Amino acid sequence: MTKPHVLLLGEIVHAKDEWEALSDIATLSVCDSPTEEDFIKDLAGKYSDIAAVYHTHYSGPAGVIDKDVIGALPPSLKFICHNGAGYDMINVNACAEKGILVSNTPGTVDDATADVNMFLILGALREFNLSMTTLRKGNWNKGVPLAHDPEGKVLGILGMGGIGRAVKRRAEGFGMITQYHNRKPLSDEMAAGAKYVGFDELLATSDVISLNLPLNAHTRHIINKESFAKMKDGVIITNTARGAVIDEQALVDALESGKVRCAGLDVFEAEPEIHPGLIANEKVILLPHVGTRTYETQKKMEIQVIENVRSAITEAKLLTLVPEHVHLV
Amino acid sequence: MPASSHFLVPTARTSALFLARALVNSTKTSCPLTFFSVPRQPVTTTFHTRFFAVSPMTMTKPHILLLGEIRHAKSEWEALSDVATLSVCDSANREEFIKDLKGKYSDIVAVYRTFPSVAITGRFDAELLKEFPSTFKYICHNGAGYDQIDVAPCTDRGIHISNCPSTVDDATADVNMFLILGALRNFNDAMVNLRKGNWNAGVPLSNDPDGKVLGILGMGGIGRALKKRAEAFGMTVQYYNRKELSPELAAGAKYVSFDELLATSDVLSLNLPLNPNTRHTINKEAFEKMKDGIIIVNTARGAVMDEAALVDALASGKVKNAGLDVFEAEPKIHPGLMSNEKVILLPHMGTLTYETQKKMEVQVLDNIRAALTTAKLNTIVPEQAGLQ
Repeated sequence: MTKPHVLLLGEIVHAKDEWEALSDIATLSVCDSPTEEDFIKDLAGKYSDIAAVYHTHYSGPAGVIDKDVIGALPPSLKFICHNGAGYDMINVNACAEKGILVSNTPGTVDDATADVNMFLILGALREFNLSMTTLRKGNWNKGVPLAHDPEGKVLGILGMGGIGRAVKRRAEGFGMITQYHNRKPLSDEMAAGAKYVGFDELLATSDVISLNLPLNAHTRHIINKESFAKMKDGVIITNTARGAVIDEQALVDALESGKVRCAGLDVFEAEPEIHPGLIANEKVILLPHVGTRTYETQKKMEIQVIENVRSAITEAKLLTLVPEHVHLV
Repeated sequence: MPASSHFLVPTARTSALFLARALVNSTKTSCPLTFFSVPRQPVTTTFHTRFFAVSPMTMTKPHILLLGEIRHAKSEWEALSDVATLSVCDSANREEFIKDLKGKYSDIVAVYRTFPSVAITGRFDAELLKEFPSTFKYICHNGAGYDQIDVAPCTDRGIHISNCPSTVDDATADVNMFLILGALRNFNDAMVNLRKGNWNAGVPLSNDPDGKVLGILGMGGIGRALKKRAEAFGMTVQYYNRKELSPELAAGAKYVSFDELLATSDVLSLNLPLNPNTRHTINKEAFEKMKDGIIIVNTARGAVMDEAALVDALASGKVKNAGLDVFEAEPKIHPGLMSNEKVILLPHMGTLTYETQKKMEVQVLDNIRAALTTAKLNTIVPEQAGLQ
């Protein structure tokens, strides 16, 4: 009785023991195909019996799982367990069509991402990048203008999932009032006092807008020139979701006009490339997608993926199915 | 002469008896006001020198002096002219200021002083204080930290000082939490790397605040405001303070000794005032008692920490990272900090927001009004609390 074959696409850094422990129920391989082309070939060869994949968004083969890759996946493959909350690099619709279910890592990412998010909200409201830069140039706080307190300001959260709710808890510690827009209103318990508003009302009445929604066909450029026109003058924008939920050019224009007073960004449309208009702006506070980059959170995420793999192999079900696949089981 | 109208100027808090005693015992002049019939009583020196009613004969209001700028509460400042004569100090430097204290400012009763005005007057030390006129009674300071003023010589001369507690708490705690996150998560490294065009290449993993122990040194208003924020990030809070707080104020934070704070905290936040007792509280010996890889954050005053010792501790790795809003000799910063790309540094931004700056200015003006009309400051500094 051969054990099911599980393939690792990428690296496991922290939970190596937990990965190795899977060998009680599976045969483990680490993808060593040098190129994408080689990988497609290997899917018909040494990987032709894989049942599940531990997937990371790495720079190697199938880091992006598009229609071509999916087309080449063997019929034995039923589960893709992705390491990451965002899974926009996996074509989940094409997976569903082929009977492949996908899991991601919600929950484990919430705190670390919300921490970055709150740092960016503070950094943008208080315009700290300018003061840090001025100091580092040897000019102390010369020319640095007064900024604003978070206290009493309205924080509008677009996308009230685990991360959005974690942001709310932090923001309230700073005296902010939270409202949100979501695909569906939350139960009172989950909303924990945050007011549900329509998308347009969120834009029109928030002092700070935080983007905490997934990237998909519906949400691409949801913040665009028209959205900016509906916002308050001097609004603060923060984004720890995916760069492409904002039209980056439109953001640069809005910063220039003063419609957006300041922004805090951890993600960019074409990262690692960043719009030069943002780089040239000393007020905006920019981080290079560090959302979950801590030892503690990276380990928690790796373990969550491994647990999804274990559940897939032993019970033929995933623990944290992506929302698009929930109706399939 | 409608003398009585003068005495309606003080606030309602001033009792009629209080007024009458001042009238009756004033050495300035005999007063025609006779509707109060009170026994003559000897007046204590404190009482006599505290109270500033308007003089019935000369109708002059107390003279107050602004040292520095008022930017947001200009109308509130102007409104003080109902109880005081207002002057804005135009002395060019300390020498000229001392001359002016014998000249045009020789009858001032109170000053509104700002942190930056030290550039003109120098510190309010014994040398300067002895040049102030005998009329001078109140220093109303704009700022929570008042280490620019030597309290003991003020107390000796019967000069009372107010500062700005509470109005500073939120804005300072916001900076403090920003620095804790920035230092734990190595954000400066990441931001600098990005701005150099290197994205996150070479930027190592960092640490979450969740579950870490935050040690707060100095659990006043700012320390307590910080606790509230830190708990939203999943931190556990312990503190050391001159005195243990009531359970209500401590709100679940654990009181520990100074040494235990050093030895058991993952993050140490400095939130204590600077005075002769607290200078270099964090020094080489203190660093030795700390956990390896500790995070240090300071929004108090630079000199509560030996900056050179911090640089050494960073170099050795004893301190994994630091977040600082204040420096021993600011605006000068130790070169060992400037050359360190991991540490996250702000140029004393603590309360620099429109909202908080206005609140603080109003708090100083309220202290002045209270001093002139009730002979009591609203927020007298802790060292002088027993004097009112």
